[in-house]
Amino acid sequence: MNRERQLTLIPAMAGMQLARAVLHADGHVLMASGAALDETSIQRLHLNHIQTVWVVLPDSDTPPTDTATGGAAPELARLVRLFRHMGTDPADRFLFDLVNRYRRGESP
Amino acid sequence: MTALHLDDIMKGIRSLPSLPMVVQELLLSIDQEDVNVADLARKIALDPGLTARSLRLANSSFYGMTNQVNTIQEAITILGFRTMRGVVTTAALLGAFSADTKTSFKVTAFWRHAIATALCAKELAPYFKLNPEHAYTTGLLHDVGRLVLVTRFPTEYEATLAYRAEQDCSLLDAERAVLNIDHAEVGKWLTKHWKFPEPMQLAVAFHHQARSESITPLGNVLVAADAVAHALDLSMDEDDSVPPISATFWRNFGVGDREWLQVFASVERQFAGASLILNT
Repeated sequence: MNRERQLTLIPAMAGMQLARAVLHADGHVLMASGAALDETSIQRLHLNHIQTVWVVLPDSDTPPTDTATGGAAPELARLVRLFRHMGTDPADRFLFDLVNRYRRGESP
Repeated sequence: MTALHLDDIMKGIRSLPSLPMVVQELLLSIDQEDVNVADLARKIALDPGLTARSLRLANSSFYGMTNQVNTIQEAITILGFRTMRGVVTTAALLGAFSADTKTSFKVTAFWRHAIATALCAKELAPYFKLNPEHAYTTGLLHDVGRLVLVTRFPTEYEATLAYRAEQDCSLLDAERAVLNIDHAEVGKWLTKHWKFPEPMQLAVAFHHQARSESITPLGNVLVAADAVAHALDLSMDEDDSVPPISATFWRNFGVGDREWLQVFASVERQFAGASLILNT
């Protein structure tokens, strides 16, 4: 059974899978449950004023199989959890992006 | 009702064992050109508890000494006065509070975060022409108000920890909601009571107020170092979280991406060794 967590859109990352469908304020489905987020869809959700999404979190006891997150799913999930109190302005993700790059092995 | 008043806090602070006077002198000496090292060594040696703790630290593997040192003077000769000043200050701060808080507060995680923040502040200091020693010590004590709260008001702090767990909010927000005061303000009063240098007092007071007009360069470094230490997950606390800081703060901070990556790598490289002091 996959665990799920509600995230603000800022730490939601391309490659993450939606645990629940994302609905527009008028009720129509913007993205279906199970769909994978990518940069375009995240941008589209922002434009539709969606502030939070439910994503599937990898089980920390299970080796990562999601190649979309570069095999770094547990590290990314941990980073997302650490940044869970981040604001909703996309510009505020500066430190998150920087640490994510560092964790992915980017050298100084 | 668990809200605390300033009078309660001040009583709590005054009931703490006082920090050895020589620590204040050591901190004030950081900016002095002409320091009477022999006199300070003699004053440290007059305090047997502080001397014992300092020598245990100096003999820890972090400082890489091949032979054990047995006196403060000997340690100064081998490690140098600047290093020993940091060792004695760290020993005094670690020894000022009882490890047993009788609450679910995670003391080791607290000190791991303090050390990570201290290392990060030290690394950032040269970008702002600040004294790295000042920055390190300020980083080490930036959350010290939390130790006052947890050791002097354990029942109230347990309620704060329960609130944080229930709401999954930051510990800072939980303190404000439950106690009506936060650790940064308590830290301000404690560092004032301990007569720490004013720049340190101000940095501790404003380390969660990145937008304050009163924030100093050392305060800005501390805001950033605290956030980075949380983001690098060095406290190893499952419930840890990074305080939200605006993009404007980071944009104005003036450190480039490449330099940030260097700071992250340098902090992580030093952390394992520096945190060995928790085992002494």
